Amino acid sequence: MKCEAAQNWLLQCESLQPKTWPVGLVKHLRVCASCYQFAKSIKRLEKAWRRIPVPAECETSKLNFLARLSQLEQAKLPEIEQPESLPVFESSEELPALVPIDTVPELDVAEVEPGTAETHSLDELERPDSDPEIAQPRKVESEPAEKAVPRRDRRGKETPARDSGWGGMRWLAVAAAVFMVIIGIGLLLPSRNSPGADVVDRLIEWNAELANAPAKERKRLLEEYESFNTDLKRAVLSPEERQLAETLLADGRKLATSEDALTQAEVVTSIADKLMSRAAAAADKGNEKEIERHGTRYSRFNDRALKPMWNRFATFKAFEKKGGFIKDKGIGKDKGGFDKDKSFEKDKDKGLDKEKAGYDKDKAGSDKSGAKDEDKGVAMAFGKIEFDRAAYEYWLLQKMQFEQLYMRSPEFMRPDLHKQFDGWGRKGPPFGPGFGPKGRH
Amino acid sequence: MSFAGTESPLPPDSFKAVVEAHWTAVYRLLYSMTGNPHDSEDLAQETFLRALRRWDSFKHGTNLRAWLLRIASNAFFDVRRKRQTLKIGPLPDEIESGNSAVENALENKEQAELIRVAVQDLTELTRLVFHLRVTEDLSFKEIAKLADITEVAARQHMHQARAKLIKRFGDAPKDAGEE
Repeated sequence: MKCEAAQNWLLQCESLQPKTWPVGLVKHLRVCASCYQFAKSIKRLEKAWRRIPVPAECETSKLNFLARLSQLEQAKLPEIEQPESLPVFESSEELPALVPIDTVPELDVAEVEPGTAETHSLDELERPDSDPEIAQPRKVESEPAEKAVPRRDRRGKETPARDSGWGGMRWLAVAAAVFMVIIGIGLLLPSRNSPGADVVDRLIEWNAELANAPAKERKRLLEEYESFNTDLKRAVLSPEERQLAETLLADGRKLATSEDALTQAEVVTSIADKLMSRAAAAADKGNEKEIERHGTRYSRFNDRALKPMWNRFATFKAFEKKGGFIKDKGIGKDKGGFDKDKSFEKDKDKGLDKEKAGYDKDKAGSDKSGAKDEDKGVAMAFGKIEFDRAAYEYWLLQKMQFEQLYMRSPEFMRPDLHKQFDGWGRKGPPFGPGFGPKGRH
Repeated sequence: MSFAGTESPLPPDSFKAVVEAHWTAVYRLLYSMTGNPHDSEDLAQETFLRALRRWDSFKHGTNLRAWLLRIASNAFFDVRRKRQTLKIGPLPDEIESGNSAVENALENKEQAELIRVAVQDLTELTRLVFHLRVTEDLSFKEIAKLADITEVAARQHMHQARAKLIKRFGDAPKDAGEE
């Protein structure tokens, strides 16, 4: 790793704990005194900021506020003071007298002759007074106590007592419902053979194709959006898979419609990041099937989308398109574009070589130290060749952005896992004992 | 029971405990934003009164301090928008502190003063991100949510803050060597 890349990473990292840093950076700091010092300076600076005491007014202002709160509280108390319990109506005068249920005249069971209950008309039931027989019920003398009591509806009409057949029907209905629920769960549970289970894999392929396709091809691929959307709606997926699929669908659309190379690169990197995260989560759980599935997905996407993308940016010619810069007469051996291998050589430590790689900040004017240096650098680099300064700066900016993007990619952030999964998409994951990222490889 | 002018269902004693626990953090943030103890006090009071009024909107189980800091930063930016005359800046000639133990712990009092001045020179948003990351140890994700910016933007603000501070103090070697 190069010093500039290392320091750039340190400036924007979240944690200054080395255990959270990429392996390449840690290795670099072990051997590079200046970068080690740089990291130490940041740490010391932040420590000093944390230890700056708060002004003495802080405590007094807190006490003032607490006192103010107490005053506000006391000022409000008379208005909101309420009895502990809710008011209770103690007098029944305001309310109509309640009629006890027991006193409601009820038809005696026995007054209805068997076989005659059905003959009572509605009018008779609504106006019981019209029927003297009902108004003056008779007592039944021979009513067996064990006899099932017929039920009455709201109007007092007798309804037949439940027969034992209903209980059987009810159990049958419950059993049917349970059966339906089991069938429903069975249908909802995702399986690899369930309809649409491959939609996620197809979406990954679709995104991989979009990642490096020319504009015309992307337009054609965008036409598949609707069919993917339909498939996704029909597909039976777990919530996590559905979420991933929906994200992939949205990402694909973004890739197809965006004309900005940097935006496309961001989308591709974020997809790779998601796939890597899922593979890493599966590895943490030790679920071999899941590791295989997600690791292969990541590897395939890396092969088909990410690697070609970095290679494409290595010959990135946005600067030429702006019309100002003649590549062959430009900055020495510069071939234009961002080259991750040259910029971030991790294993061979070739790094961001000023001579070999894309640009030389000291010569070309990306140095923020001052405008004078920039002018001087440009003059040195270009001599008397006329060029579009704005276009050149745009190119430099994009190049730096690609570099920063690469630094956030899974390949850079999690080189260990990347290395483990790399190639699974082509030759499949290694099997046997210790299978997966946690084990032997 | 509630406070005058508020609809908060929170019992007063509990809210006082919230004030006790988080006042310093809120005040510290506002002091780093305004550089002025008086404005910091006013804004801290405003922050807690807003929190009391909107207590219903706080999702229990989430980070209470982050919620309060969000209200504080909103209060700061609201006041900044409303009255452009809010004094941001003139720092006290000396570091005022009643906490001598902390003060003694500083390796270099002058350096602390210089750092404070340097941080005041950052833009407000950069300062906010730097403070929340360094002092409150919030993640970039939390900071992004709190400051209504993207996570990438939060990272870039942090990058800017560190780069400017390092450059200002010149602690890091100017000409970084290569491996």
